[in-house]
Amino acid sequence: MPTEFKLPNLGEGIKSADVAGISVKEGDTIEPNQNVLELETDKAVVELPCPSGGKVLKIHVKQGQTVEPGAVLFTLEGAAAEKAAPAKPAAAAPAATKPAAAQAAPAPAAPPAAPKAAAAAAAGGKQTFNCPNLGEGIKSADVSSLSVKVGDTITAGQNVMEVETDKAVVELPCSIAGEVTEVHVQPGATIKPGSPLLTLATSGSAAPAPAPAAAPAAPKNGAAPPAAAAKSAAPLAVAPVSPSSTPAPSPTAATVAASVGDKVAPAPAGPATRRMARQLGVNLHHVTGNGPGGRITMDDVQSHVREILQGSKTVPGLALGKAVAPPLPDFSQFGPVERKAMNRIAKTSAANLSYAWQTIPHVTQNDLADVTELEAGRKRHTQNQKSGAKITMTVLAIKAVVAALKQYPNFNASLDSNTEEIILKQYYHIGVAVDTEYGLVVPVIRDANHKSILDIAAELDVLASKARERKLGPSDFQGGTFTITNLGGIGGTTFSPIVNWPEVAILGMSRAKQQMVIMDGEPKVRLMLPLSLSYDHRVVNGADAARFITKVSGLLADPSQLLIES
Amino acid sequence: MDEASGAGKHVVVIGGGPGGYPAAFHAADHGYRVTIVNAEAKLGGVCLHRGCIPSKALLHLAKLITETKEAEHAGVKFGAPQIDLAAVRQFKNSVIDKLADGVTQLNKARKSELITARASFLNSTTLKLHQVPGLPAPPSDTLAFDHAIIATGSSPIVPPPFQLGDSRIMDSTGALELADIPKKLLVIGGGYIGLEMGSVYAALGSEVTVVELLSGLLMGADRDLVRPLQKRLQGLFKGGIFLNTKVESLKATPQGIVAKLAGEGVTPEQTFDRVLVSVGRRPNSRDLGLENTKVELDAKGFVKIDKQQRTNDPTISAIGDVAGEPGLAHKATREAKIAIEALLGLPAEFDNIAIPAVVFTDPEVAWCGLTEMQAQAENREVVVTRFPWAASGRAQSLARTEGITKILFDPKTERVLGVGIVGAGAGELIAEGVVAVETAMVARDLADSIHAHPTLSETLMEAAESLIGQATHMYRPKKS
Repeated sequence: MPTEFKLPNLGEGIKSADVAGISVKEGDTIEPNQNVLELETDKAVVELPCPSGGKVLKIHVKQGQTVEPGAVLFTLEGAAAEKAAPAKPAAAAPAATKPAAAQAAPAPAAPPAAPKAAAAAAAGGKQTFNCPNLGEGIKSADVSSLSVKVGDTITAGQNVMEVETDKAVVELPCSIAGEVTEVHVQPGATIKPGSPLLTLATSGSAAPAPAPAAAPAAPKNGAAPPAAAAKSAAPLAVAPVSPSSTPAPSPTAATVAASVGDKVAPAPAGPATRRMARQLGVNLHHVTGNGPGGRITMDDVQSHVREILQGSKTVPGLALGKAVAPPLPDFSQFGPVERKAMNRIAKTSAANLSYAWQTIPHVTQNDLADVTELEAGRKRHTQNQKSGAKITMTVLAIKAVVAALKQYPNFNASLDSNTEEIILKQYYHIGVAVDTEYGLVVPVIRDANHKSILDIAAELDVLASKARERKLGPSDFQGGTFTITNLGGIGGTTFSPIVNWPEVAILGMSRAKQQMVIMDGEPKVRLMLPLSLSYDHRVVNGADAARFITKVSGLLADPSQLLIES
Repeated sequence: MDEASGAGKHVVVIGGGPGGYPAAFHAADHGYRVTIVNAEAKLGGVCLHRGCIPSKALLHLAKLITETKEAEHAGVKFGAPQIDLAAVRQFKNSVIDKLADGVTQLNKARKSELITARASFLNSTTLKLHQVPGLPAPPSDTLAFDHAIIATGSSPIVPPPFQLGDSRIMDSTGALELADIPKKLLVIGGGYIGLEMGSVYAALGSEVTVVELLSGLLMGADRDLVRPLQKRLQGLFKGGIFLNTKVESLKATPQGIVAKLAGEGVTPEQTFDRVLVSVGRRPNSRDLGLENTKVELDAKGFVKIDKQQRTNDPTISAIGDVAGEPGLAHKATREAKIAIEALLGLPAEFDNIAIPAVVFTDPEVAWCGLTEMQAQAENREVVVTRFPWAASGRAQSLARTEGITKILFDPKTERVLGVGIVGAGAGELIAEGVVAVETAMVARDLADSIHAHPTLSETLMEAAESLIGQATHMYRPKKS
């Protein structure tokens, strides 16, 4: 049954208003108390809510038109005869006009979420109840339970399900009345604003959602709506509404996070503070502002830097070494330069290495292993080998390392600095650094203690080629307990590898060279392999490190011993 | 204050406008040897000679005229104004000359050399100097530099169909010359230049018609700020304001310029005594020999720069209109400082949040920071408070109550994100808004600072108060 929405009385002394904006169009379905017009009186610009909901059949006014109270604005279909709240938009607009007062008044219990509660598609007698806006900063929620099923008849505003956001568990009222013909979600489902939840068959004259309008008709002086009303009318205002009389959304963790992630919003700091931050290489988004509204002062920047320097604070950028990096000079003034973005592998390893280098007290212990016999044996094998993966010095070193790890379990460990415990691992997953054109990666040979030399050789072969084709999956990287990095194929004498945190030690291998060695009083030419063991001195003491590397050297020097212990 | 010094290196600034001369001064103040190459005899650029300054001198007179008329309502009656156009021009020119001489003095005091010539790049370290017709030849053909700053500005666009070679069709430069007071003036383009110059001519007695292709005037501004202005201009511009209307053609005839117009409610063919084309400006990046450098241009012809005003060529920076929108003198001046400080290795960067935009019509419209339209487009949640000037004692005493002061806040922190003002003196008032936005003030900072009574500045305080003062009903949640 079509009804007409007429311009209500606009307040004392206001005879007419100009239509400054129309926020709906013909065919739209509107909610009760949805703002439909922006009116400009000689006192203020105010928004005019339509007290009843329904489908807009005709709009009788145009933008710019002057209208007087009583003028027919819209024709609505299916409008509930909502006489309860004859909207008085500008009622409170005397000299001290605060226009906002007028706008807020008609729908006190309905924060912005409410009008959107049902983006109802009024097609035939069926309407879909979509998930409303869940509150500021809340992007999704999980359905914890359903309180309706197909065939139930519900009234508008009835709670139909319980949903869990990252802030709270809340009841979700349905803004549409009717019979539930379809339930689109199951408990456990994750829903987002706009997701269809229910389909309802609505009877022709069913008044859509008397709920929000059931709120106090004319709140006096903006008195806070009772919490109960707020709860039922404002579907999911969640935390912000209930306790406080201030409808302003309260700052919560979620909203804070949302705005920090928002790249549009500049950090709340003045130009002088921003300049200082640039000078010190501080990312203002990492600084806690102690001023009102979280404003960052120059003092905040200084204390932020102080805390970092004193080690009492870490920031995300620090892992990349960015946090306190002073500004770079303009290199182009000295000659041509090219800027190249770091790829993801490079960025990740930069962050990891930088973290390890800054937090782990490194010591590197060097040794020379006599691999004359081992290498001779290895060569014999590879020369006769018809098929299968090549046995490399790395493969043999894995075996030697596993044997040494069994004897010195502190090397097969991690440090939990929070609990001040050493976590000893009872498995032997050996990471092997692989150089690829995309950067350094460290795939892991699992349970190397249970695998034969041939098995390890074959697996390493597969992992290395996967690494070069960038096909390693996350599980290929995880769980390493000790890492080997072999630069022997390239050259060099010794180096200081960086421990692959959270491991506590890493063995570096350089190029084996023939050297004159005195054996039993006789000079002999032997093939000597330089080993460099870097370790976390918090977990491993120097004597153990010397013992460990001696053990590894010894095993590499004595193939039969290696055979026995592996 | 800062110790950095240019140590005698030679900085050449091309262009002497509100970007160029501050860059030159700042460079000279930091120990650089500085030369300005300016394509006209006097410093000051478009802003001083053919833009901001002369238009404001004329708008001042226009406002006097309308105010004396309006004083009638308050019981003070003046006779009809007698306009001596030559004397008006003289006033306007005297303002320009005084300021231009001032700038020249300041330049001399800094021992920065001024060469009158058009410059183009031969390579990344040398300029060729061309004589400007009618002006003395430059002292040399070429000029070597350690660093060059392009500050060549922008020029009004006159679309080719309107280029009839008839002086009755004017751009902003022509309109400011004030050759006569046309009976009927057509203003093509409802941007700030069209509205400002239209206001001047309307006050002087022209029947002004404004035609705008888009659906509104001042499309960058929020509609609620434009509305009071539009209402008043509808009274002032007797020829009318026509939106969504296209100028299909212009034809020069002895009787006047015949315009064919297409749009709702507009007489399709009208004859005007003069036409002002104010449809936009384009960067002056052509004929600069940039192809001989590594400087790159974007699709619109703006010089591509980084946050420190550096171009792709390490020895060349760019500032002002030629380096990107918005084309505003005060943006150019800020960029000038950044360009020089970046050269000095100081941590300057164009990280400004608020660039004020001011339309010097009556009422003035001014805004800075985030606008509501932008917030909507970016889907940012904001709370907007508006304070209508009808409630301001000062506005009432000026008999100008159509103004609105509004503030956009962050709903969570109550930080001031944007300010918009329409009303008398909005251009001066916006300064407080700029400081608030740029320094990340929150509502209470504004609300708890004492603003003198009775002044229009109180409207900012009150707009801030309405966010925090009356918690339950003094704010309006942003509808999305």
